[in-house]
Amino acid sequence: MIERSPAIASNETGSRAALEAMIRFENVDKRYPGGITALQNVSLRIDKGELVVIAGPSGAGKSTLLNLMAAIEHPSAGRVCVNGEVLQDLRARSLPYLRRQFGLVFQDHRLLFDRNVFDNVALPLRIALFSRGDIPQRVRAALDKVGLLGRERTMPIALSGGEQQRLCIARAIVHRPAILLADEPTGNLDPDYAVTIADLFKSFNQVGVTVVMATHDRAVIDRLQPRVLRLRDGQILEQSA
Amino acid sequence: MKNWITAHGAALSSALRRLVRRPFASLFEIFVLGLALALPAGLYVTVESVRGFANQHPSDPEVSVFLSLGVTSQDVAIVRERLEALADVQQAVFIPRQEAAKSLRQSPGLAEVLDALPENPLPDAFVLRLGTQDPSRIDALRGEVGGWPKVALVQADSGWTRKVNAGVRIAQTVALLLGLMFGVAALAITFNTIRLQMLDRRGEIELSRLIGATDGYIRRPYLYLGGLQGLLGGVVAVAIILAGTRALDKALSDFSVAYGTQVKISAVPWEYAAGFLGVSALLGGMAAWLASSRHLWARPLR
Ligand SMILES: Nc1ncnc2c1ncn2[C@@H]1O[C@H](COP(=O)(O)OP(=O)(O)OP(=O)(O)O)[C@@H](O)[C@H]1O
Ligand SMILES: [Mg+2]
Repeated sequence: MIERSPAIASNETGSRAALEAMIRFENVDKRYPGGITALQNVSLRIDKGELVVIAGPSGAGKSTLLNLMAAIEHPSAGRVCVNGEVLQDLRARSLPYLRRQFGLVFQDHRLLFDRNVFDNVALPLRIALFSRGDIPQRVRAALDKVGLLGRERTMPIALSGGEQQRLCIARAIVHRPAILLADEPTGNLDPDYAVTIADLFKSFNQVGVTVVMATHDRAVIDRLQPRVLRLRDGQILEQSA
Repeated sequence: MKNWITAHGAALSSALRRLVRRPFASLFEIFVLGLALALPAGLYVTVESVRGFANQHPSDPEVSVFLSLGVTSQDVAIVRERLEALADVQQAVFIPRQEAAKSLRQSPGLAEVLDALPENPLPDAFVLRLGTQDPSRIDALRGEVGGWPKVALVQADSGWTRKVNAGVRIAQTVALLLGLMFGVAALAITFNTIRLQMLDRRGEIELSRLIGATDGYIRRPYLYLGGLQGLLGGVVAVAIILAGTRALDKALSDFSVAYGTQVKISAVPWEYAAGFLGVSALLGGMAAWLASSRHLWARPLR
């Protein structure tokens, strides 16, 4: 153990509020090359263990917001902080380790179609250098949660749209991330299954995972009773609890 | 430590899978790589053995005096007497043409050739041991003896040693330049293999980086793949060189046995072979490093 100097200790107490915020946006703008302004002056705060839904019409900037949180995109102006770190200040070699704290459900799934279900789900574990012995059991646990247990050897191309989406969710949760960022995770699911997945996200949230989900699925929002951030034309309209 | 083993074990097995998944393409690439590596290395081995051979001899310069065909034993006796009278000649050993033919006959292929000829084409010869190493005196002696009657040709070792040494220096330079050229070619072959493999998997690579893969994690299997390809290419090259030196050795011994000299391509010491394999593997790894760097740096993390 390193003995803590008083300077560091006081610094810690001074920024306790910042530490408990899992995600903070301070006056964030995002302009894409080509001149499209996807986000304008967005400030928000998501605390550890919160369950937040980002709602808004197509093109409002929901995906952009999630991509900024995951450090996939970087802001044109303003600051994005995750877990006490300012993303812009983070060195490129630390970025991968930050990203392992996330579970990402991509709007376009991004499955590997030349790998079977098992290998798709195992990818985050291999990247994080989990030992070979641990991987199968964790993969099966994740597949079980999304109802795909027993399909390990199937190729993704042989899965329905909804099954592919669930596969993507299994891959996002398999390494038990601290933050789940899900972009339209129920977009291709029938209403019954959408509710099941909503419950799954709720259950993660109940064990302390911070969940941020972009969706315009009313049934999911009703089921989860989350805090809702409403976006329109790149701006936050309202934040309801 | 455990992480390290996990990471490298996974990368190695993934590299092996990638080699085996496209067996014919892999074999082809390895073979081409082997050829590219074998050419300069083979030239180098040849040059080294020629140099070794040339350097064995200059200390006791030898002059061969070939007599005209059809000399009588009396002619031979006269030439011997005159040779032994020369101050610089320590010893004159007579090699009759029958003996030269007999030793040539020991090589299976050449016996038939000799039989097919109407008569023995080889001349009688004297091999002189000299008491001097001074090239100008050897040249003078060659000039003098060459002018005698019944003497067809005088071959002075000092002359050919000089020429061989000059030739070896040129060949060494050529081998070095060729080595550089073919080294770059080998690098380019592996570079291209790795580049295409990474392009083929760019979706997976991009996704892996998004979910927290380090550059090292992405790179590692390709480094192993490049290293393995280099190593196997090196093995092919060593095999080619071994086969080549063996064939050349046989041809040379057929040729040189006639006058009792020994020209032999020196066997490649195993340390050299191992070092060569190491260099090939390193070259492959380097090519993979370049290719993967280019791939990753062209697509920054954010
Ligand atoms: N990579 C990009 N390059 C240029 N413009 C982009 C890019 N990504 C998004 N945009 C633009 O930014 C705006 C916000 O896009 P975004 O994908 O964040 O919307 P969204 O709310 O997720 O929409 P949807 O509900 O359709 O997924 C859109 O006008 C879009 O065209
Ligand atoms: Mg979107």
